[in-house]
Amino acid sequence: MSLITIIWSMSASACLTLAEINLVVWCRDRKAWANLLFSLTATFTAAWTFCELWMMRADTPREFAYVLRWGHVAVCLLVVSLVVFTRLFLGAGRAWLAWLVCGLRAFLLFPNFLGGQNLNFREVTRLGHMKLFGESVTIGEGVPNPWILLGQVSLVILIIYLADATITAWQRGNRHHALTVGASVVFFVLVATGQSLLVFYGIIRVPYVGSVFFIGLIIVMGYELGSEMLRAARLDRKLQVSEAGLHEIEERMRLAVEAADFGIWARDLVNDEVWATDKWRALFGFSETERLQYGHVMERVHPGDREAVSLIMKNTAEGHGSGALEHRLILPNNQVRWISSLGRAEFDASGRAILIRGISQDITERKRAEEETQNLRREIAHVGRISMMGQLASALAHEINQPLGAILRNAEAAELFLHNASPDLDEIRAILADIRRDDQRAVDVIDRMRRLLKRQSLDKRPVDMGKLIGGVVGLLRSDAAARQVKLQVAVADDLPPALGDPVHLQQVLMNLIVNGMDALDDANGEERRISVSASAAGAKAVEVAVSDSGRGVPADKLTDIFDPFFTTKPKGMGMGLCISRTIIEAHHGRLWAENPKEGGAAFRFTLPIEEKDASP
Amino acid sequence: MSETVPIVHVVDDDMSFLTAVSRLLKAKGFSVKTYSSAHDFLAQREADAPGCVLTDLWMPQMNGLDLQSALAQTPHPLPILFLTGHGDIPSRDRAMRDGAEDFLEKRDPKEKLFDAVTRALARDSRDRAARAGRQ
Repeated sequence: MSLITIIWSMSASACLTLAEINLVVWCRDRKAWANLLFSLTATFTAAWTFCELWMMRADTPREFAYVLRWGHVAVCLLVVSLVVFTRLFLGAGRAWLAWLVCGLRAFLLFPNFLGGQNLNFREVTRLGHMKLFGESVTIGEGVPNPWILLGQVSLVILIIYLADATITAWQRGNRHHALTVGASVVFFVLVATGQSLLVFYGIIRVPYVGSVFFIGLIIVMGYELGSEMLRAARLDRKLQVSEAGLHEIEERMRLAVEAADFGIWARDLVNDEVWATDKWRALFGFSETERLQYGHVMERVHPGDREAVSLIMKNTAEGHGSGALEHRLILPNNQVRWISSLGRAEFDASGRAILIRGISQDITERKRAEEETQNLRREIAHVGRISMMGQLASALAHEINQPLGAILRNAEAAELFLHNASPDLDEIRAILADIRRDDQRAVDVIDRMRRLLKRQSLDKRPVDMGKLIGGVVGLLRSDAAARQVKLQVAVADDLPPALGDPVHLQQVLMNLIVNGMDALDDANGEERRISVSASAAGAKAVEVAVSDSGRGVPADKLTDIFDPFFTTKPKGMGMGLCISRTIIEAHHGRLWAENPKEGGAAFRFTLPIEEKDASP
Repeated sequence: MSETVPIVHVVDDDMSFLTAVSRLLKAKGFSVKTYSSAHDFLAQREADAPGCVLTDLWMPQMNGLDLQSALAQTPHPLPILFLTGHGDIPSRDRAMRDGAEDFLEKRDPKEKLFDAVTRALARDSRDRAARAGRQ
């Protein structure tokens, strides 16, 4: 067998082998269109290679012309499949150029079959012979077909199309494929086309050996596709591994979610849809199959919380990116449920929120416990205040009887004056003014009583401690006298106003004084005295002290007495000092107890003074 | 010693009530002097002048009971009447035991007040006569 036969046959069979492999790949994966197109390109290359070999071995001009005619069919199909492959593999190339090339090649089959013996020759008149690799091969000679010019134009357009696609792919960053496949396709097509032109115009005298260059093309293409397949296989293996990992993570997640009793949800902002797990649906009282929209969910939210929920959704979507809140639900059976929800938004490339994902949890039990604690705390504070009030009720009754008594006596005096023949009208006017003033005094006493009983928050303002102490001592005077306790007051001159809530501070002071009186009941000392003093403590605070002449506080109990429910009295709640300290601390002050050298106990508290503007 | 008009001495730290009750007593025809504390009264009183004391029970520094005992130690004590915002049994018992003429509430009917004052002045008159007889 000759060398030429061996080379061309081997080339053709190499092409067919690659074609078969890629066909199998396409059969397994019908989306691998590049492999199918490569398979076709390789098959038609093999076909053209056979044609070339046949032509080199042709015995008659007629036989040569016949083979060349059918060879053009192979070339046409080769060009079309190469064009489509390039477009698929590089994802580039102008569509109109592709259509033009394919259309031209298809059109040229008409002159190939109808305008003479084939596209190259109207008629092959004789066969020439020449030496190739030391062998004699046949070359066709005859009358050229003018349509061949259009064929050559179509090949030039093909090269332009391929070059353009390659450049586009390169610019898009697909540099590896542009360089290996694009550039080599352009190169080999250019060389093959150039060779056929040189042969046709008789510039070189060789047979058609374009297939040799096409083999190069096929090898490069095959190598690249093979690498792709290998990479895909590797990716596939990796994917399997990571899928296993993903499954594991999902499983763990599911366990965690179940353990934490979380419901998971996602709100699609674009399509207004809500996806949720069965657990979440159960929490919100929806069935497992119901189609959900945001509006349906909001209907379940307690009307009092809807605004807050909408606001946090809006904030999450419009910038914060995440949000959390606790809110109530009203279920269809009117049951109220507390929910804690947490959400995070996902944004598209333009920064618009498209999805909010989140979890929700039932916190009804926790809320109930919290509320109970809160109520208990409020109750205790109130009870403490009431018991203080019990001791103060008589003091207040006394206080209110003062203005009422004055009103009565004034009115009676006025009546007597009016019995006179010429009543002193100025005196009566003065009486009426006094009655009016005493009426206001009575109202003030009642208001004070009400404020003391009310549960209100701190309303801080500058407080003249001298006045405040005077007021409280005034209220307690009758009680103190009845218990034979002397109340002494000593307020430093020019004491700056303290910053605090007068109502609360009154309570603290009353509590401390009443405690002192209780302590004196237990003591047998001859002097029963409570002194209340107020003085400056440094430049920024006022110190108030309530000292008694009792037995003092046992040294080891000086701190315990402030604990809740600590009491030494049979009827005591043990809340007074605890509440008092809470109030003073809420004022940023300090309340403590000590046993002074001169005997008895002293309760002292500090209060910040009103900050004055430092600048002159 | 010339007979002078007996004076009702009213002692109360509550200026408003002090004014009101003195107006009423004046309108009824009594002569009245007012004091805002027990100390003021003790300092200003004219020894051996006829009259009686009408005092508030609860006052700072010196209360009504203190005034009663202070007055009892003077050579010329005056009958004393107590006024209080509301009843206080232990104080009332103590005051009456120590010789108070009466123990009134501030809002008692005015006739009760007038009667008590009249009785106190009459008693003072008797006491003064008795003291004069001893001398």
